[in-house]
Amino acid sequence: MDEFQTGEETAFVVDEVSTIIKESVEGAIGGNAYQHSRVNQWTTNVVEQSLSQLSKLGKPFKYIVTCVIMQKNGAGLQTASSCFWDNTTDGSCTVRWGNKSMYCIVSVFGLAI
Amino acid sequence: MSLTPTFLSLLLLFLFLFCIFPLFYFMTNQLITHSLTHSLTHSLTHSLTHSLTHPLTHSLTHSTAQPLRVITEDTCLFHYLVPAPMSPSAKSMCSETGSQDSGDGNSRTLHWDPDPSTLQLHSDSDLLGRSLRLGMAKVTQVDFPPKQSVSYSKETQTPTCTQTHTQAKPGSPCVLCVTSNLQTFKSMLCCCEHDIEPVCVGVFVAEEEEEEEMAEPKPAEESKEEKADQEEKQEEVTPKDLTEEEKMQLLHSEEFMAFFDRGSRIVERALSERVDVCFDYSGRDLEDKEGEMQAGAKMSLNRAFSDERWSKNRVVTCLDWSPQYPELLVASYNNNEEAPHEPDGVALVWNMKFKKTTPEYTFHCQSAVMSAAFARFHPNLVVGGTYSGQIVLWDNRSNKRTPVQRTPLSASAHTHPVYCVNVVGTQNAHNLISISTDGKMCSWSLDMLSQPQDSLELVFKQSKAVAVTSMAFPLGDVNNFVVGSEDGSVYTACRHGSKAGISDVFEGHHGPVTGLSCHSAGGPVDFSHLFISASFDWTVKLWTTKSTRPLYSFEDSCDYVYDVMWSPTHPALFACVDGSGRLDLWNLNNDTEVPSASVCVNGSPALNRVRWAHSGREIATGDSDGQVLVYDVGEQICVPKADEWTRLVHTLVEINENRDEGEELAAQRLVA
Repeated sequence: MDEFQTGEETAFVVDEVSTIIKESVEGAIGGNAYQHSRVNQWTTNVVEQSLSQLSKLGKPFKYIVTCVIMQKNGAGLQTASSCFWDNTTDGSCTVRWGNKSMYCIVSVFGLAI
Repeated sequence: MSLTPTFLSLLLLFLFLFCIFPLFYFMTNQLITHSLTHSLTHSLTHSLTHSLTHPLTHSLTHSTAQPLRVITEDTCLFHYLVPAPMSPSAKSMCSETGSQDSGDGNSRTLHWDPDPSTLQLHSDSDLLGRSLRLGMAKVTQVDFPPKQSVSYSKETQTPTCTQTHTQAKPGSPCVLCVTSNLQTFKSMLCCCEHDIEPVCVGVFVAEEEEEEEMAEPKPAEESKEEKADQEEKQEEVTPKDLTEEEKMQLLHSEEFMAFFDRGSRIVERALSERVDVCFDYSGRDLEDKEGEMQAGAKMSLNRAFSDERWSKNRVVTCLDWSPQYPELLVASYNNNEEAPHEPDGVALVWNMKFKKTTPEYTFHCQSAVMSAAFARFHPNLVVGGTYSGQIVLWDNRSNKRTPVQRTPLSASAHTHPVYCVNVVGTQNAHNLISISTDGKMCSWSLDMLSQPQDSLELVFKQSKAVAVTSMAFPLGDVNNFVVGSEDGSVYTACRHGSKAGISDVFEGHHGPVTGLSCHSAGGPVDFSHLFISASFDWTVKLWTTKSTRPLYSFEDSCDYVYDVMWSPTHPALFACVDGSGRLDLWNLNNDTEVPSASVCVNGSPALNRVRWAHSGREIATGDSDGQVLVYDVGEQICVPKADEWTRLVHTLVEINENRDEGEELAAQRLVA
């Protein structure tokens, strides 16, 4: 009664999380152009919105959400990350979103409790 | 058996459940899901209905005050119901309830506090029971490449560099861009940002007015060797950003195209100029420049005109110098087999005056152009005769590269390739004469090319149509002319009058006649009865209209002679070109056996056409590779001395005598 459930409901489902993140990003900064005065508010919104949606999933996970908003100015960007965890239960998901004036990169790390 | 303790325990169980259960429900009505209640009741009823004693005895055997062991699937939800400390020591906290089955690693155990007011749920993590298996995860990367924008910077007019941009790191490349204000066609450079805010700096490329919206000019220490970038930068005071469609529209508008055409032509000329500002007229430098001394040179190559796109792989079919502007030369080309999608016929107007290597005007049409000429009394028009029989007219006043007028493709006009076009007459009374290879000669008015004014079938002896390959009008004559045909004969003909049509036949060539030229150097003595013809039989023959037998045959060539032309200034000089790349200049007064000057073109292409410039100092030849070469002729050759005419008279007398002698000898041999 318990065994098969632990696989589905308590694993990090990347697609589900990615959908949530995309919705949060779209909702927070959807059709806007980069404005330095408002970017602060946007990153906060993205992170908060994502986190609340993720917690509503009700899974036994600890979540870490980071959000980077970068203006499109011709600069290059390189980031890398790796984790030392239990590969069977833990997972991460990175969503890259962009429009004409900016990029938004959201990373979610879920660590099973 | 004593039922009382079991009954009591059962009662206790019931009380617990039915008191606590609604409490649960009311406290956390959001989080208790249907499944939870279902499972709870299910398990309880299960345990109750199946065997009443079984769970109770099972639990009873452990201890008296036994914690209820309810195993559900939704234990995780309980985390959110009551945030309980999840430490392994929690078990010890529950020791009051006496947990003893925490060693079971596969199930979760809920420990309920007997006091219902504070519900503390403690659960064990799976992992704590098991050994932790940790490992490295794959590296997640995010990569945005930088934008490769090429930009161009010109040195500023105010060379002092300013100190304001101190936050810029030295050596960091600054992206400059050129914005072109399309409304006024000025260019200005503006510098973009060092930090996030774009700082616009104006540098003036145009000499005119100031654009005061800019800040100080760009420091010169930044890199200068970057190419232009046509983007509009977002900044506070710029004109609004144009969309792609607007830009395209503007770029293709009439005004812009005309401006661009003119502007690019002027810039091209300016860029190609190689004026030697250090030339020393005292001659001190000339020791190094021996090779360039023209004094001894007979013929030297001045210019070579060819165009990658339009003249490559095409044969030059005709050349003509402009009567109004002596530096303009039109060259017509036939089709390019390597490029079937390009237009078949091309005519390019080249400019000798400027050093630029591109044609002054480019014209093309759908059929290969076999002959071309500047319209003599219309400085803007270029006439072309094509392979399809159409005569096309290009106008350099229009911005079009295609003909502005065309003759119809009908039986009233030509239906065969037109190899000869010429404008004859005077300013007020002139016609365009064209002859095609089926012997039809049409005369047209340049204003109306929809119908020929006059047409004439050139037939010899009422039956044989003359396949005309070349045509020439003697100097000053608009009625009589000579034509050369494919069968090797030259004919004289008249345009008007009772004897309109072919008059005489001059037989002598053994192959098709490729070029004809009537004597055109005016002087004290009139030699307009003389004409020369070139043919595939390797010879050039000198004729006079007074006799049907050739006066002289020049047989120095070893290949088909493709064209011949009298010099317009020197009475005894003519040029001929042949298929082995040789350009020969013959001076009858010097020597009739060998050419006086000869030059072989690099690469030995077959030279198809030769044309003297109106000044008589330059010769243009076109070859089979699409190149037009212009040679300067040395003064000692091309400038006639005062006695050239009289000398020519003597020469002709000699030639005549030789010819008669030769004929007599031949007749004697036949008789004998």
